[in-house]
Amino acid sequence: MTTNRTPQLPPERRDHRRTYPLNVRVPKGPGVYHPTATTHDIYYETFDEVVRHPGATSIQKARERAAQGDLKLPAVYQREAPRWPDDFLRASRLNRVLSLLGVLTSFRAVTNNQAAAFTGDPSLANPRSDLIAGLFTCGVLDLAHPYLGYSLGVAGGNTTAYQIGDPALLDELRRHLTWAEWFAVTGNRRRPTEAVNIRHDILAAELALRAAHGLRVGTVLGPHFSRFADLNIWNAVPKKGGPDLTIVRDDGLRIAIELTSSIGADFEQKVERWARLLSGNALDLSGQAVIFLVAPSPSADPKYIHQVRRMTYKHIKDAMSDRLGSSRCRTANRIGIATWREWFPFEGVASEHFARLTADRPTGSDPRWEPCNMWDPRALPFDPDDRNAMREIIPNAALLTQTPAHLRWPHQPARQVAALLRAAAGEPPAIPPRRERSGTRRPGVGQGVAGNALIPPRILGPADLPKRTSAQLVLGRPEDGDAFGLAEPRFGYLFPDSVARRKAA
Amino acid sequence: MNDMAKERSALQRARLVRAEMIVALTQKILDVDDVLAEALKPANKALGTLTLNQLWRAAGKRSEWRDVRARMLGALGLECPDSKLTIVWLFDPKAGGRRYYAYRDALRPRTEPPSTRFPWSSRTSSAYD
Repeated sequence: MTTNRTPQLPPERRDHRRTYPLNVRVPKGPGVYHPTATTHDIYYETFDEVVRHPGATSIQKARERAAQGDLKLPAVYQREAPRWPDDFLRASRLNRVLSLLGVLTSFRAVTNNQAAAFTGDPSLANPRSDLIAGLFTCGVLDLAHPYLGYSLGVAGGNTTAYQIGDPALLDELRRHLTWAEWFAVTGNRRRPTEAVNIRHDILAAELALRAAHGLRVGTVLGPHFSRFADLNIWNAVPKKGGPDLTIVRDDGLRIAIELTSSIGADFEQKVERWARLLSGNALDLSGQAVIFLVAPSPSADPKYIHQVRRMTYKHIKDAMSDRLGSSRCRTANRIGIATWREWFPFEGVASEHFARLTADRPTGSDPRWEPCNMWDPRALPFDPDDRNAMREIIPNAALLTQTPAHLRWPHQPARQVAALLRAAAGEPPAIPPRRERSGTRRPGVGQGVAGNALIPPRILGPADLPKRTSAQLVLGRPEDGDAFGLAEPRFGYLFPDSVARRKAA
Repeated sequence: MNDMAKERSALQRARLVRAEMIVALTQKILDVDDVLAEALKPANKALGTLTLNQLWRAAGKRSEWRDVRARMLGALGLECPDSKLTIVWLFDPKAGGRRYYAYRDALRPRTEPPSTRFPWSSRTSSAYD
């Protein structure tokens, strides 16, 4: 690493006038959250020591180590493995499994509490629950304990990370799933092949959750769905790779987040790729911006932390000198740098800089760096020609279980899936009656109190709320005036007060 | 003594229609979907008793049928012998289109997103047009 001085390096913004408690908590039920003893601030508490964070442990490794006497395997992990996937195909279990696998496919690794917060299912927070233990003993999940590495013996009382174990088991599951179920997990894309970096992936998932709960976001997408191939419309850069996370503003602006923990050999290329992508894709067509979020370990040497930050500023300054963009759309307007400590100064607390996604942009002349509230449409205006097209990502992401549950259900993914199914399969045809005198009844049109037929819930994909399975009331045939044929909700919890208020407004 | 000539003739005609379809499937002249479409015509009511298993086996897709069958019955929450899974069963109006949707859903490819740039854009999906 070179040590060139960067005279225009602005000071880190640590003078916070206001701070806000973070509201990422384990859900108790739909819309009800409560803090738990196992809720850690991932950055300050879970990863506060500079140690090598070992990978997750598979059931085979755990059993081998237990046999050698290195660890005591908890009783739930010693049970006989359930049959995969047959024992997980019951609706109540399957929805939870698909929700968890969707999050893991997109974010690669999440903690137990993050899994619960993403899916809205508090039972996933317990790594010794019957479901998680079953998935672990089957080999579908690997578990990691960030404090002690392979120490599964204390997994119940502290934060545990989940990641996908044997990917071949997912292919086996796919043979039993409906289209919408598999689609909700993978988006019908190929399995991710990138290596899991637990600290990096968990920090990205944490930021996604904090943005989803703390900002007025359209949606958030993990790295599996935020690849350069997705973001890069005009093929300005190779399709491989992508940011750690994309936060979509309500107006459709995409703010990619690149977490920077260290300056590796390929960091300069990464910055150069972003500069090419931004200069090759105008803002009103791509809606793309990026923030490099400097997040080295908080207990690292302060000189090292400063060096990572300084080199990030330097590389971006250098890249901007070659890729200016056009006078209408300057590249420098869409690239920013912030640090994790600026946005989240203490454990469990966010600053006003996070509320506005304040970042330094290389837009000035003297001094070169100017702060910008990139979440503020006045500071970073976005006025695309086709706003509806740019906002399509918001309802589309609701079909994927990687999206936090509270961002999914307002868009009623069951309706969208029904529309896609009808587009693919058409309306059910009517078979000729057996006797000539019998009348032909249109399929799906019911008589009496039974009403019209409903599409089977599994065809509509995993539930977007824990109790939604029985209430996915999408009719087999659209009603007049309702293109999607969603039946009237029968249960109050489908439409809490917040949605009713929004509808009234 | 009843004259059963009419019934015997109808039975023979029905067997002939079914046999023709099976042969057409075996010789790849028709696909399974074509036979299902034919079965919806009033003149081909006799095809209704053909089982889906017969159609898929005749088309030389025995292993694919196993997957389709597992997905279809899994979505419906049913366990049925192959002999019950006839064309009439599939289109039975009493099922309200559920069996048809489950069958069609089981056939949908699991590797193709609804649009090329999904989820960022749905522009190639006719569902949103």
